[in-house]
Amino acid sequence: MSKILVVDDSETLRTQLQTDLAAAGYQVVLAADGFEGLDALRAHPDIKLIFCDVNMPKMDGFEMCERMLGMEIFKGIPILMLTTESSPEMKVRGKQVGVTAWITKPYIALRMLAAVRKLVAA
Amino acid sequence: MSGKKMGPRDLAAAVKKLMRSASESRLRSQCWRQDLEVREIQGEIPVLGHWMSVILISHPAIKLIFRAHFNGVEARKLAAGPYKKGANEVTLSQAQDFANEFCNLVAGLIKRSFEKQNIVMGISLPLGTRGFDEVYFPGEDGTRMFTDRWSIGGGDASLSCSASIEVQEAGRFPALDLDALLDLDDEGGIEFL
Repeated sequence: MSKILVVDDSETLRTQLQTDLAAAGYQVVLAADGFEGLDALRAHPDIKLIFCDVNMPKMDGFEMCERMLGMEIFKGIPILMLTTESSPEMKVRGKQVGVTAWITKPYIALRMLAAVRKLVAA
Repeated sequence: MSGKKMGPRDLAAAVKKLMRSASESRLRSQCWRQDLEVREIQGEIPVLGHWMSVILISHPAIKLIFRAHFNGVEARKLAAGPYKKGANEVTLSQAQDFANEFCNLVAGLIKRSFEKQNIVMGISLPLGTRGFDEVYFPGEDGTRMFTDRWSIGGGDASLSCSASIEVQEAGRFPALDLDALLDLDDEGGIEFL
């Protein structure tokens, strides 16, 4: 059972995503901001994929990804940015900090799960 | 609209329509309820709800504030869908978070509508506060500051929305297609970078 980290300051979004991922057979770890996300990665070295919001208090998604780039143990974990942001500039910045794919909120469960299957299998 | 000089009223009128459409669309998808629809608010009501979520959407030429007003009972009913619980099992904190995320989704859609016409706007984090704080927002002056109020509801649940639209410089958008602004985006696009 692959483990997935969800980092988002919205409890509503975390709950929805956890429900959809768990129903598809994934184990889900939750974090409310970038700080908690990095703590979760250290506590769960078997995380296979990360969902991350951009706009969060305390530490935003870009900073969390930048910090991950600097740590060898976190390299190679696919990151899906799940956010209301969608500008080309944001996506370029996302790519620079190691983001694998960009999902614009609100997500569609079938499309999201198809992307997860592709990235976890890779 | 190309070739026609657009004034603040024209822009504000189009943005009002956009905010109403965006809020209806996002609440329907967030709650999985297609029965929710925009309704007019009757009468002069100084404070629309016990709680309020606020989000800012900003460009140097136009500043928008979107607010969702709600009471705990009705917000719990709307939040029950996404939380997959009975309304009486949803906590007030979860209902408040639901309203914050609703504001976030609406702001994202508004931002994207402008971005499709190369107008880049910034959005804030949503902020939850008391409903009474609504009284601090300025009213309409008819020249630069415009306001709107509506509710979205169906069956036994609804929430109210309000908007402040401050037009600093309507002439900054000479090529803005107001009809295209209302062409709402598809949801859930995925792009591999």
